[in-house]
Amino acid sequence: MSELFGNYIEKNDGTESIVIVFFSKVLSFKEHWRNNSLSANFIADYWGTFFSAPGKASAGEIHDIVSFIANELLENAMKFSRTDQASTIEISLSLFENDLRFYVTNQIGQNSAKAFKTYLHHLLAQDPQEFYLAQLEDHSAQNSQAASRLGLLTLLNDYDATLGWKFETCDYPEAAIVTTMAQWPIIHEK
Amino acid sequence: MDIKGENYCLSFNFETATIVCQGQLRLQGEKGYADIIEQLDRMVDEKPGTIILDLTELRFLNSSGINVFLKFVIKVRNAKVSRLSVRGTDKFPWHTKTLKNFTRLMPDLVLEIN
Repeated sequence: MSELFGNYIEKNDGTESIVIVFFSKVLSFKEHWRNNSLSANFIADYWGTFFSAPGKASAGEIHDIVSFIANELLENAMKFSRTDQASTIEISLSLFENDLRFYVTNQIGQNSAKAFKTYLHHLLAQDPQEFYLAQLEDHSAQNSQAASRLGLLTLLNDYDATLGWKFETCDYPEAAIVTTMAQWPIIHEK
Repeated sequence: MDIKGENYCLSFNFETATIVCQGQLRLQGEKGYADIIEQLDRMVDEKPGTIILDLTELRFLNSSGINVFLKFVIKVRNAKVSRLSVRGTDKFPWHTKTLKNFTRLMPDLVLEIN
């Protein structure tokens, strides 16, 4: 059984794909933090091979944008993944004619899943730009360090990404599998 | 004073009220930025006429870092003492995509993207 939020597009391979799977048994994923940036930069470097077509964003620009998006998705997965069992995080990136699609899948506890769904209902019902600035002002006024998921809002507002989420049941009843999809248009609007 | 990590360096010059950021800054949550936030707060508390935030050599900044700098902008704005000048570059996509939010929060901020 699955539950979808936002503009989720089911995964398929596109024309070119890369998949990286992280497995952790002893250390929590938070202790892997440094590897987010290494992995995001590796994926961006790998992807540089495919971009030289005229009319599309430059290779350097695509590199840095791919690195930013991959890093934000990995950071979120590492931050919220369950810590009570060995688990995996998978990131895949596929190339389509006009867009790139990122998918990051991880396991989260049921309480985190419930809180995340509530947040997504809230996010999807509002203008993301206004929501972003209002959250910043609120957190600044309250001197709050709460997990504000500004990464998702940055992808929506500043990178024109389309986001979607899929929640699925897991072998462990106390956990859920969540996949976050980010679709980023390669071709610039004229 | 400088705050350095594996891939980044931030220089805080309180005499010239200048903050220079270089490298790739992707620390873990706001707690990871605690030392940097402390120095940003000190810069606001020093009440200089103009604070210069030079980001031209900062290639990557994660959303937690963006959050830290946006809150710094709010603090400078709310203190109503210092002007704020932010320098960026069109070499790095995040500058052209994200720095516009700085002026949304503080409309009289001077943003120069070269």
